[in-house]
Amino acid sequence: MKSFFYLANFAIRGLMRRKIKNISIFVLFGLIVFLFSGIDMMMNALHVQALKALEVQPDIIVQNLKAGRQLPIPMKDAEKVKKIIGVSKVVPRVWGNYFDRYTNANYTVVGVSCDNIHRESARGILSLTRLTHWPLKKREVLIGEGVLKARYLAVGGRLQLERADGSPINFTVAGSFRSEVSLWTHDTIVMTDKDARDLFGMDKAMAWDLAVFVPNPVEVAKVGEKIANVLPGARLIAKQQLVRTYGTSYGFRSGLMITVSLACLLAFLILAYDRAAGLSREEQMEIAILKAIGWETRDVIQMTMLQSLALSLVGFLVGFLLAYVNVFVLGAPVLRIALTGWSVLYPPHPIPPVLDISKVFGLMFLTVIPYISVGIVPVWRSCTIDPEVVFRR
Amino acid sequence: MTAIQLEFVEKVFNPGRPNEFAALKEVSLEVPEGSAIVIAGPSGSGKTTLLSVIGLMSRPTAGRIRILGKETTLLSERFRTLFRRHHIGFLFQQFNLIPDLTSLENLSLVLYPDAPSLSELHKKGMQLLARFGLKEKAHVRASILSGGEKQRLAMARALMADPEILLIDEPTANLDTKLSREIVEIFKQLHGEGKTLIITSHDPIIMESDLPEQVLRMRDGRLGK
Repeated sequence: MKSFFYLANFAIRGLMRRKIKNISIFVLFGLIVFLFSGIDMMMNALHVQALKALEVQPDIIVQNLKAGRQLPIPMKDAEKVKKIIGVSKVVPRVWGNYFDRYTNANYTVVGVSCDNIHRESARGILSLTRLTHWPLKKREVLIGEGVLKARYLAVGGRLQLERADGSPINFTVAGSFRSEVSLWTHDTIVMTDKDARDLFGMDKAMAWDLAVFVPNPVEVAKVGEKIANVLPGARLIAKQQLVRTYGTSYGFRSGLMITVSLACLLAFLILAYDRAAGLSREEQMEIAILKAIGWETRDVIQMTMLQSLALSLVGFLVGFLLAYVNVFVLGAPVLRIALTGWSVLYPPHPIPPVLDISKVFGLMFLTVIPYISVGIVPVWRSCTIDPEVVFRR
Repeated sequence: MTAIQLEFVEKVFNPGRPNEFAALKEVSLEVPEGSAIVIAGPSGSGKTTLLSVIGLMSRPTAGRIRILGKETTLLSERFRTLFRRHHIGFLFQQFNLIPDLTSLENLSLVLYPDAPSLSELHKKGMQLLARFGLKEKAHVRASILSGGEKQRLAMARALMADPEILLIDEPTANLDTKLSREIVEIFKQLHGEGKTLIITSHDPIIMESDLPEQVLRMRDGRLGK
């Protein structure tokens, strides 16, 4: 144990002696870990947020497509779907995008039938909001934090929007969404379906789409088939499909970022290759001196491994911590632009921390272990050369 | 008792290649324990290679070597290293100190793998530094020591494990006359303490001193009187 302590002491001091080289390795190592773990943390957090938001989504969404364009769906279609065995509830939804000329931003206006809302959905919505009361009353809205800030509003304040015919319509802000779901609700305005119809000028006999709830997940596919038979031409979107779409979207975006990060990885590989290819004259001399005064090859390799371990582990931890702070404290100012792009009002505050420990260890094993390993061969090779030969060079 | 015994030792560098070179040819030597011998010869005659082979830093191509009664020719690399650490001290011509380490650290390195207590290690190191007049330089980096100080530090390092045998390569090559005489005095002290000294040199200050009991000559890899 004492021997290990001396070796560790000497190894660390050895790192200090070759400052420029080791600082370069440390910075590059930290940067790679920072980029890769930052992207992974961000994607993971976004994915968890997406799943959280999808928890309150219906199992199937039915849209009315004509010539490939979405149009309002007749309310009577809801009755047809309701009769299908396995369907517990059908909620006609009224929602749409609203361009706000004052803030130059698109809001997502969602009308909910508060009297008729599915119990689970209501519970889900309530868990994500700061609301003074539920259900919403006439001319009351629940809004995302982005709208709150863009319009300089507070709970209890007045939000004025424009109807389809251009006349103003005023709402009272009854509450706002919690920051945990801000990525998905930042630009959202929730109101009663009657108010939404009033805003969009939508007929009472029509809805924008139908939310279908199927309690038994096994039956979702079968129910989908039946809906397709009852409403030929309707477009059906299953919840699982949404989950997959989000996953693909993140995969694509993170893939782009990882491609950019490959430049850094390449630099690291060149460094590792350089390390594997051989040692500097100074390092060879040091090994020869250690061998000459009685160090075993095992001692020298142990010392080198300790040096590599200290350098790569500290580089990993610093890169990882910086990535954590960047993503979860500062809100990933750079990565966010690349990885989120579907909202006009970008959520400015941090993303709620989500860590996948297995991925952290995975990244550690993929960076630290190879770095330690590539250094062993040249050191061992150097140890096999007679010290006298090295001294003569 | 015989400290060192060599029988028909040969050392060939790059065997079988166009640049093959025989540095030692049929070298036989017997050095009694506690004696001091000087091996003289021109540069490239094989003196340093001979020390390297005796010190188990280099394996001979042929022949047998016994050190302190132990057959070392066929020892594994590990045992050769352990044997060297505990029984043989080296003083290299170029000192071969680690320049960025302090004097005390250069000494401590020798016994790191044995791991005595740190205080014991430092105590021993400080004793040796004091003996060689380097106590004040204990925490000074080796790279900024003078030539004479480096020489003495290298000597102290060679003695750190208290070896029975000291192999000393051209000790006065980088020193002026005054320092050379001082180092000869140190060798005499060590000889007086019963250490076996093998010194390679062609410096008259050493050869004409009363230190060597025997002076051997090397030329073209062969050893003779």
